[in-house]
Amino acid sequence: MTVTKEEPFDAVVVGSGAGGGFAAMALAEAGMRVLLLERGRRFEPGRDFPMNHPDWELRPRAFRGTETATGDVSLQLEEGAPLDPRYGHLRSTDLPGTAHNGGSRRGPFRYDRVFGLGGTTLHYQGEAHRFPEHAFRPASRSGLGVDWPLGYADLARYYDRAEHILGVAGDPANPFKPARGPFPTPAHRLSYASQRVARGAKKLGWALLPNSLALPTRSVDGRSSCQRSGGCVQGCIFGAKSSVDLTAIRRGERTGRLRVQTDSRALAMEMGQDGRVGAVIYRRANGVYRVRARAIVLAMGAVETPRLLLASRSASQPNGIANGSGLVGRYLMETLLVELAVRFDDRIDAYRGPPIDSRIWDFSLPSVNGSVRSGYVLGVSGTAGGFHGPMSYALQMPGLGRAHKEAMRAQFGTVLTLIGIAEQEPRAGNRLTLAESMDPDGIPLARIASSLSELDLLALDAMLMRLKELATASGAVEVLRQITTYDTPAASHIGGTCRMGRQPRDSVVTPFGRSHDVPNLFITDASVLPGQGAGDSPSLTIQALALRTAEHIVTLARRREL
Amino acid sequence: MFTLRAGRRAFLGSVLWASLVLRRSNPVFAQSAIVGPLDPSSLGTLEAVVDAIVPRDRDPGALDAGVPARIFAHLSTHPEALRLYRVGLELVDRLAHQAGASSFRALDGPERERILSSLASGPDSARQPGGEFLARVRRDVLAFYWASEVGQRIVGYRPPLSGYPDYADPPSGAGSPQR
Repeated sequence: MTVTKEEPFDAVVVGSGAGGGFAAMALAEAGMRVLLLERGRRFEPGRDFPMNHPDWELRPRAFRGTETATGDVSLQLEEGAPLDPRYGHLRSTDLPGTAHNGGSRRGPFRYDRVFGLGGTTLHYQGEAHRFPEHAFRPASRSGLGVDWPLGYADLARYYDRAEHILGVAGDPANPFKPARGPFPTPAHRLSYASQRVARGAKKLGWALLPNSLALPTRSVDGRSSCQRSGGCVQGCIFGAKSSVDLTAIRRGERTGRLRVQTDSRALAMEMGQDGRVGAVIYRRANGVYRVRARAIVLAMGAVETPRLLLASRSASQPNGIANGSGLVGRYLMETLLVELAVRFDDRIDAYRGPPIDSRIWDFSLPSVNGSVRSGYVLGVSGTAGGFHGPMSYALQMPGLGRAHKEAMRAQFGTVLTLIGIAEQEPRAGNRLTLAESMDPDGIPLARIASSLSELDLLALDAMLMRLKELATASGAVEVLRQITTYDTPAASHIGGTCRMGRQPRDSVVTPFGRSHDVPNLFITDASVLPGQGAGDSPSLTIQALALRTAEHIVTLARRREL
Repeated sequence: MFTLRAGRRAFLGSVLWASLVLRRSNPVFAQSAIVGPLDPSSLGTLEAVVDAIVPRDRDPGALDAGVPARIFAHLSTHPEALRLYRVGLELVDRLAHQAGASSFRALDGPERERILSSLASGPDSARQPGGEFLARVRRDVLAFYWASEVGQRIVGYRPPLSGYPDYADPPSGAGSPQR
């Protein structure tokens, strides 16, 4: 194999999602010459995304084939952990009692991600949450999880900066969040779906509040404001959604110091004699390249980052790079999720507006009282569960002929989905390891073992109970579908496989994202998260941490400590 | 009761399928102009099947929306689907004969629906050719019809070509927009 040597850079960032894109931008803006490697391609909203066509439901999603475990060959899907029969009521079902998973074990691990410039922010729904203060101290406050090696105050100014880059829309009057000033753009009006559920929440004494979203309500940085098309997951045709390719990476490219290289997959890291990463080896269509840099930043997500670290083992690093603790791959957290698709007697047209524009944080403070657990958030989704346009409704309704057509006339637009998301208890036994089989590039597949603890099951149980209360109070007449991670794993908010901490024995990276073992290696993705923010979405925290890590790298470089 | 057929994964699968059958280079063309993989008799049966799945009633049906042409275009380039369709169309004609009719086309709407529905009955029907055909043709017809402007208009759906920025046309029971 011929390997072409590249000119060295000050920093190489591998992965262009929430963390990688922000780190690359911050390093370039600070004056460093940066190479950003992205495995997928660059997407152009006006050209690639389908929702400006009347028959958009028939058109391919631009990210097809890159989104899930079934769309790539990274994961070796394994038989799931046994189901706990005490919690059989948590089974995922369609009425009338049709089980999604009729077996005695959890279904295979499913990984939601996108290969493309911007990473998974290309198909995320724009949730931009600051984790609440208590989420950084879960062990001290409630005996759950582990305390972070930093607190909200350490991240506040980075949250500020990330929100301004994204043009986050929100309402600062949220009693469940730290006090703050105005958001960069005002909150969205509640969608019809959220307006309906707000009535139910009010009856229950819960506060349904506008979600904070990276969907600006005013033009930011020359981009369109959000047009509330509901098409965040398909890709925003207006370029309004603040995916990282259109925000941080675009800013970084403007400096002239950020070179973005798409269709470039990192294959391995080479260790130097000095205990530092000497080079990154990566593949393009026309060959294999080797590039050196003073700082290497990994940001491929909570599966690919530990996978590359473990796969880059050598005689001097037999357990993989940065794995002196033996914790690379451990403490994997999936997404504890409950979804209830519910039907109303009248039209809601939930497909209009941002897909997930409201949240209920009343139960976000983690606690366990007997068999009742809190530490989760609830929300409303207009399009989750595949209820979007007429085609998706029609394909999910049973039967055919006159009755089917009549049902479509009567029931189209009457469905919304209530969701609950909790933090999973981080446990060392939930982990990613390498399989013996390899992908076409010769990298071992990731093998994931993940099970639910009693605390996890209690969280699912509590969320299901609350969502049913909310559905009833809101006037829903029927639960069409119940999806839970009891038997159907989800991993949209996966994290924790290279956790941060102060001590090398119990963590992989420092609070600044720097490897304890390899001084020029940094990680800025969800793998560093010690927890999941009590159910909040992690992207903004990943971005804030990336800005903080980048600042640290610049400081080290200026002190000549890299 | 609105009973669901499949979960989210199945839905995503259906979207992937839909992307495969979309023929960007083939605009909906007149059925009379079709020269394709089915003989005239089978084409007639296909049109009857399509009409049974989304019949014309007070609103236009799948024939009015040009669905057979879309299916035909797809079958022209997908030999595996074509094989399944041929088997299925022969089967429904045979079942029509057994019911005393000269062909599936000769049946009235309710009888057509009954025969099609019978393909999905019985254990393991989904793996039988009849069950496979029904699942496929049902999916094809529903997708092409309800993704068309004809189908969208019937349920009052306005695609998000320019988004929904103004919150115009609030649905029944919606409150006034609030912050």
